[in-house]
Amino acid sequence: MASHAGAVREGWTVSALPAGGHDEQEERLLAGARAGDRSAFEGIYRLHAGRIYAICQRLTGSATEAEDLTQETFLRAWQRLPEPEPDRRLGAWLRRVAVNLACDGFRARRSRGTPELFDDRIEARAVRQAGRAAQPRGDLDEAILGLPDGARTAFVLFDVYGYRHEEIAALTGMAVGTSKAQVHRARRLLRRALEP
Amino acid sequence: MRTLSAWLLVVVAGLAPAAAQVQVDRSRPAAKAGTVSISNPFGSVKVIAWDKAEVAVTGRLAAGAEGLDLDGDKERVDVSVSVPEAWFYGSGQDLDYRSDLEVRVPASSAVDVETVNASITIAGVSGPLEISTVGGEVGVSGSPREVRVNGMTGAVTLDTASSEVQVETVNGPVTIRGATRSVSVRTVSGRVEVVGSGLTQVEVDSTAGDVRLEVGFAKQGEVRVETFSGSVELVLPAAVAARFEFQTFSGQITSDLGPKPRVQERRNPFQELRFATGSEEFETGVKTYSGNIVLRTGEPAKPVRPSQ
Amino acid sequence: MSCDEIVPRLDERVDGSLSREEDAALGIHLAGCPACRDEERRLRELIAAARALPPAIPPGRDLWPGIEARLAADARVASIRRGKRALSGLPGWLAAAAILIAAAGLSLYMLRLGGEGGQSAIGGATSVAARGGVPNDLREMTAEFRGARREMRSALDEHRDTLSPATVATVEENLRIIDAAVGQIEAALARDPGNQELRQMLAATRHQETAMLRQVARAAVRH
Repeated sequence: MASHAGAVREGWTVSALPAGGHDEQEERLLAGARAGDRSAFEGIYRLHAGRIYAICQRLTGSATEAEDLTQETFLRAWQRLPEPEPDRRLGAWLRRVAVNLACDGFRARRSRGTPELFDDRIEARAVRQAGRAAQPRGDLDEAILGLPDGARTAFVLFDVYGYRHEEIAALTGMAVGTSKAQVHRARRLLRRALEP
Repeated sequence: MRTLSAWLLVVVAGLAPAAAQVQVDRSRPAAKAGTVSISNPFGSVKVIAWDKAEVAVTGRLAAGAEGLDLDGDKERVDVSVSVPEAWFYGSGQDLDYRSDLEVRVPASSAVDVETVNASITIAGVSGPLEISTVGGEVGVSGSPREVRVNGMTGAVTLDTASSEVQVETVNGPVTIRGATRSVSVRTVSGRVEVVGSGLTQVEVDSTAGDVRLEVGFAKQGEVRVETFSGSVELVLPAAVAARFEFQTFSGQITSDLGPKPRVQERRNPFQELRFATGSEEFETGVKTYSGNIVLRTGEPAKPVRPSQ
Repeated sequence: MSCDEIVPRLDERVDGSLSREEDAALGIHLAGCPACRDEERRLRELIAAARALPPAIPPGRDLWPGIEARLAADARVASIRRGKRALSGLPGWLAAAAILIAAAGLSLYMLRLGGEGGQSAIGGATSVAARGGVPNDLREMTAEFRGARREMRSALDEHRDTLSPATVATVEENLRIIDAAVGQIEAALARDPGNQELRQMLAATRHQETAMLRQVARAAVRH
């Protein structure tokens, strides 16, 4: 049984647009942006906006929040652009910024104590309904939008983006055990929402 | 009757609603000897040392201020108030622009504060201080080991047991008490007063501001004061041991110590007084164009206890 | 093991976090239980679908204009916030002028170091005690300084509206004070060109002006 951790993360990078062709262009843009060239930074934005928006939407469950978070990610990135390094992908770095921001929001909401339903059937129906309300992007993305906060965050980080439970715990403030439970719960809810 | 209506007026005036300011109360963990960087354009900044490993910010933001940012990491905490850009083109005196912050910082922090017109008060911090303001008044107490102030029109008052003090201002008065090693002041027209003992280096550059030094010297070192039209008054202990050189073009030299000043005959006659008392390892040089130079003897300044 | 006990463990089996013994036990049950096998298959399909989600989703609208607007606004605030030293935070026009001023000021400072007999430290050139009037080298230095100062003053003038009226008033008043001082010293120096003390005093006063203009430049950035 192949270990879950790592496989998806690396696979994710590979399944993205071929990194090879982007390297030089991205290095140039990064150098320009670090020097303060805003149009170079726009170039970086154009290259990565889709991927950043995707993870933001999946983590927040809301298109509006995802837009805000995407903007915030790039604004932060502008302030702290890293040095170009041969084995560091700018995309992964940007994603880390986005995930941190999204999880900050999650932690804040969690500490305010937003209650979550506990009846799986009721929840599954809610997931189905919420999914349909969003713009059609494929069944699974729709359904993810409808998941309750904790389950969605854990599932997206674990099953979609390949984070380990320890990392999820550190980012979200959940316990490792909770992260596992939430992932399992998300899977259950999604299956009920998606399967007839 | 008159008293009652006067009293009523006071009460009514006090009830006039102020613009709705926003309360702030935030904190963040901080290293015991890290850096805290504070920026608040208008209003006031009070920095108070405490013994927690935390930076806590309380106070009120101006209504219309964009917000208070409290970020960074433990080694460097940033506290900054952001305001609409349009406020910088106004007079800045408007009460509506005021954000008043109280920032509690670990006592050994290095602190830098930057304001436009906000007054700055720092108490009890022992790390180096760097202060930058245009119109704000500056007041520092405690024992920061180094203090650097770059001001313009606000008064600067340092009541500190610091080893290095550096102040640059344009016309704000400067008062430095308690410095113990090196003092450097530059001003154009602000009045300068330095009171301290055990000093090894004092430099004052002024164009029109008057200068008063009431100081005790270490065994070796240098005092150098130059002004154009500002008068210079030195108050030194009677037993001072140093070499003195005073020069002025059109001012007067008056001295409790040494011989009578000589007039050097040149195309531009100038007055000069050179003498030495005791060891010559300490040099005191004062030059002015038209400012008077006065040397008086008096009791040495007592060392200042660091105030909390 | 009953199916009820199996199903909850399928998550962990798929994640590879069961012990070898438990995994083997589950395997045995699954071998003989099509219902549970089906559960496991669906679970794996879900996870595979999750991993195969498209990496990018285009936002509903172009977010760049919003980002760009914030970058522009933040730039201003950030330079004020981050406590820039000396020149690093100054706008281009001020930085250039300030460098000129500093260079000229440095020359004058070196002039001040000139020894007795009116020797200038600059290029070892002997100062020509002009027949009346300011010595040549001093005049040259002064000219260079004047040029830089003129540029800086006109730049400040141009951007006067970025300074508060109070600051403008302070700056003008104090520049007047310095100018008056310089005028008096130069007049005296013209009468006595070899006067070392006067030369030094002139340099010092010019230096004062340099420092003040730099401070004003700093204020202009904030304002």
